[in-house]
Amino acid sequence: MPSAKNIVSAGLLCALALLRPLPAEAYAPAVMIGLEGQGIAYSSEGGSPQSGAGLGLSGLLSWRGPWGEGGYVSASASTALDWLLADSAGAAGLYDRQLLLLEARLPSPLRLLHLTAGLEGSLAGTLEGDLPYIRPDWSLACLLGDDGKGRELELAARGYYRAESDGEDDSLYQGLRLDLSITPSIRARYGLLLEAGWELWPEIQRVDVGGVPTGEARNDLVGSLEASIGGLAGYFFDWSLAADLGGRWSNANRWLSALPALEEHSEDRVYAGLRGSADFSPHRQLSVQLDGFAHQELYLARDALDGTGTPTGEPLRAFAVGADLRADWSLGERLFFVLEASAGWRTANETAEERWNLQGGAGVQLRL
Amino acid sequence: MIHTAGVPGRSRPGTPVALLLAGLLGGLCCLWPGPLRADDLQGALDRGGFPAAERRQIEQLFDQAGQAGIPEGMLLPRLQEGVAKSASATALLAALERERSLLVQARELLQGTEGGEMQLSDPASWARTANLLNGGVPPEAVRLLVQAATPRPAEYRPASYLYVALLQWGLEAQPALALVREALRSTLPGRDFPALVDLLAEGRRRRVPLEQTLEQLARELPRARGLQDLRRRLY
Repeated sequence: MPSAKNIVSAGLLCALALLRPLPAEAYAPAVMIGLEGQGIAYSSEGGSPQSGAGLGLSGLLSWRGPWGEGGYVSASASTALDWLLADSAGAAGLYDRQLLLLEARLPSPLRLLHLTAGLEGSLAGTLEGDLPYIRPDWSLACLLGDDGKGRELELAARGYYRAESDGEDDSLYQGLRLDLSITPSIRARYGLLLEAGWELWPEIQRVDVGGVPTGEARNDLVGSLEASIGGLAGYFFDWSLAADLGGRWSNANRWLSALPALEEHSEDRVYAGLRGSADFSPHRQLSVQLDGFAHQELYLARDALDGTGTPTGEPLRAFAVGADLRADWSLGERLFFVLEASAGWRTANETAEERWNLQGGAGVQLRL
Repeated sequence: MIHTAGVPGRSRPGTPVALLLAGLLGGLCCLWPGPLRADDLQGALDRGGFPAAERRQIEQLFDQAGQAGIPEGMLLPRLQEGVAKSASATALLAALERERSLLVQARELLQGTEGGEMQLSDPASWARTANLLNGGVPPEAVRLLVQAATPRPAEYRPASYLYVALLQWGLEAQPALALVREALRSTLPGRDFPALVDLLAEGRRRRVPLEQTLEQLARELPRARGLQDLRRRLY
């Protein structure tokens, strides 16, 4: 009787046989399943705190194989099912998140090109509050320069389309990203990332006086600049820190029925943020990852509203901070004991924009 | 709060904060033992302030080591370390004797190993070999490391640090040595060797079986044009 792993491997390889040429030296797929107990506490729009507990089931299938000289193909699929058994807000139920990713770096003489195609979605909505959605994404990157001394310049065109079955936040994004990385040594690496893009929101329309949709869809231009630094300290500790600035300029507007008045450029904003991460693996049995961020947004033309929906006269400002911790200890590299915790807090001068959440979980993962 | 900004039109006074900082720094300088000075044996013994009998014992040990072909400079750091830590003469003599013994053992090992003479001619590599033996690395493994470094003898010490780090990370001796060999056969500079441990840890985070990551490294190391290219080939 073939093992589950062999059956899955055979199925995946059959599917991947559509890719030509089939890598002759491909590795066996990695297959993981996991089960964990979860707890969650949260509050949104200034409401009273809520909490819940449940179980999470996860699966991961990944495969990678070399392709010609210097190229590779890889595929991965992951699923996360979260069953909230009890929730004080009555939100108990099943949630999910699915992810499929295909990636290829072309072999010589085209090894400068890197392609990715992904599909992310949720059938039942996510624990983080997303409605059911599907989001294909794509990217084509070209290595413009690599001097072989740690300096690389890459240009990528990337985009996505997010479609919600029950919501109105469908969006189409297409942008260009220029990525400069300088790695003089393993102890210090530097990066500069510049991105500009266009985002269309086909189901969100500009409104006229009275709040009547005009038929003109919302269009945004977005831009960002990020500088980063990082490196390897010793042999087992990798860290990075990034600072970014960005902005969004939009033709969106909104009707403030409390006044009443039309507010133009209601989504225009600038932001600045900091992001850090640390990975520590002093032994093959142990891995600890910590990520944190802080993010400040300032809306340029949108007023913060009070509880009655009346503008306060102050531009809307929001500050968010969060951290994520993942630790796992493995037994023989087949069984992993996993501990996860995350916290996020967003404060603003408008109650409807405030929220916080705490999530924690502990469980096991098994590599088949 | 002490305001340190000067008043326009007047010279800035030496503020209490500045004086306090200067005092603190001066105090720290007095307390700080300072770096191990590049002095000779007599200078180190003078700083140690040992009684005459113990001083003679230490000088005798150095004489014997010199007659056995061990340069004074190879034992001096251990003496200086002991002086800096205010170790007793007894403890210092024991440490120096152990160091001398390890250096002799390392020399014999290097003389009997292909590529060893080149490492023996470099005091830092000779001392590193003694350090490996002191750390519990079996002589046969050290021998294999020396042989593996024959194509790139200048990278012997980085390779040895990589080997020890791989063992510390939990890799068995044989695959650790195999990976070190692949690294030495590649064009990856020795200063980038620590990143190989990071790549193994990255594979673990991605739940890639360790054997697979090692296989991939063995295959891609000879082909990769630098560390970033190697990382792209793996992940």
